[in-house]
Amino acid sequence: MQVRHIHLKTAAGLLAAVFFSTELRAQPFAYISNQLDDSVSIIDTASGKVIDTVKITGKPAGVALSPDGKTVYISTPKANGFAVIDTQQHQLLKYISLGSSGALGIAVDNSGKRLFVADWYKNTVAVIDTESFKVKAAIPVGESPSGLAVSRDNRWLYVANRLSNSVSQIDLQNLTERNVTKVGEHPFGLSVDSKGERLYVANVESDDVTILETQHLKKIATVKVKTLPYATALALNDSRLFVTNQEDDSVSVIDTVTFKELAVIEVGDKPEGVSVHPDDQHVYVANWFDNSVSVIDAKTLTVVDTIATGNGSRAFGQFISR
Amino acid sequence: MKKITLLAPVVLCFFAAAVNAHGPVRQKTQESIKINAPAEKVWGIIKNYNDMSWLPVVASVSAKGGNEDGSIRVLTLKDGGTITEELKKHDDAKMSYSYKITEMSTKQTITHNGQEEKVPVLPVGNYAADIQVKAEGAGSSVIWKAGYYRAYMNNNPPTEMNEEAANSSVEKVFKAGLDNLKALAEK
Repeated sequence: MQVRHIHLKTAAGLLAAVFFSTELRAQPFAYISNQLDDSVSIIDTASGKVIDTVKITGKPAGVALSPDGKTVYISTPKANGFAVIDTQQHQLLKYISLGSSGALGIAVDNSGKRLFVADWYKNTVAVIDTESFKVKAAIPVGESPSGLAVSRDNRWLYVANRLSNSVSQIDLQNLTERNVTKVGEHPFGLSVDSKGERLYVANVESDDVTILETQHLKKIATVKVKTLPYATALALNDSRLFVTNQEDDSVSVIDTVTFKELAVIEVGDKPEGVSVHPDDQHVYVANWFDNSVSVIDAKTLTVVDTIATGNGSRAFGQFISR
Repeated sequence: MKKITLLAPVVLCFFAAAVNAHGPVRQKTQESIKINAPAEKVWGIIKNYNDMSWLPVVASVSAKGGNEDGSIRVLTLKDGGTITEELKKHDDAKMSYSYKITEMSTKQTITHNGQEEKVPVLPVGNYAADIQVKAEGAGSSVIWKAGYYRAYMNNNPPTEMNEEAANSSVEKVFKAGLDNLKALAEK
């Protein structure tokens, strides 16, 4: 009797797993942290609707997803660390405390085995094992590290050091800083291209984007954008860079060949986090003041959808499942 | 020497903004009002950056510049306090402008955790706001939005400088301002 019971449960579990993983592949989801609501909105990008909202405490800010899309990590500065959410059950699994209220920028490596959390106050990046959730290392970087980006070959981690006006390149084999270079004033969000050759950094205070080559972190160009550029994302085979201009309620689009600002697209009020759909064409922008997400078509450079989320949407990081 | 004294407040502001950026959580207030008067008439009352006669808490304004980006206005409040604001963007076609507080006088000095703390006249930090008039049929609506931090940057703020103090103060100014604007426009 008991054995039979277990079998039934296993079968149900398997069925559920198959169902959910199929759904996951078919429809990528966007996970939007709503800082003033203490919640995460889950958007089904196929229907453009919020299908669920997960309550989490600690003023959720940064977002990172495991490569298999099964786990989302949300930095929670007021809970001194981050939250772990199971994307299949839409459930909060646990909070991990890092003992500091400076947790903001967050990213996962491409094996899914290591999580990186920048500590705004301690000026370090914590390296966390995603199975044991133990901190394996704390890498010293510049002052107030914020945006994080991992190269696709999983070799390098790039860190924007906001108060040092610099970017650090971390060697992910030995977990040390390989290089550091000055960029514009107060770099915050950054992106590395898919070949791992170029880095794009949004400088909040100098209203521009610094473009670096990754080999020696040499500056290739500086492109002026609008007021208070916050975060960046690449679309259409890395040919266009999207930059949220927080104080201009807009997104600047930069041609990555000519380094010209191609367009300025009006979005919601106080845009912050930006991520690209796996179709490489739809760009999702979290609007902090308007409690919404704007969806931009990277080809036509128009807003094709606006989705209502929760209060104070920030979504700083890569927030769409692959 | 003169140069140094001029620079000091700028440097202070810079650091205040930087520290505020990610310790406490950024707050916001949004207030709106429907007015039974054409949008052009309402915009006519508020569009001049150096004229704040429609805002009840303000006694007088001294301004450097008009409606061009970067203009500075200093509001002297009825209780004697001052607020300095910089115009960020003025858009006549959209009937909106945005601005930022760059300096404030101290309302009171309190002791908190054994430290002297200066409470600014509006207990907020890193404050940016915008106001917009929209046409609605024969009438209009005005939307006033602000984003800011509480005035106290460290953990465990005093009640005079916490999130509730920041939110209720901004809300009070906005409500009184919009109510008066409605009264003036519907006259």
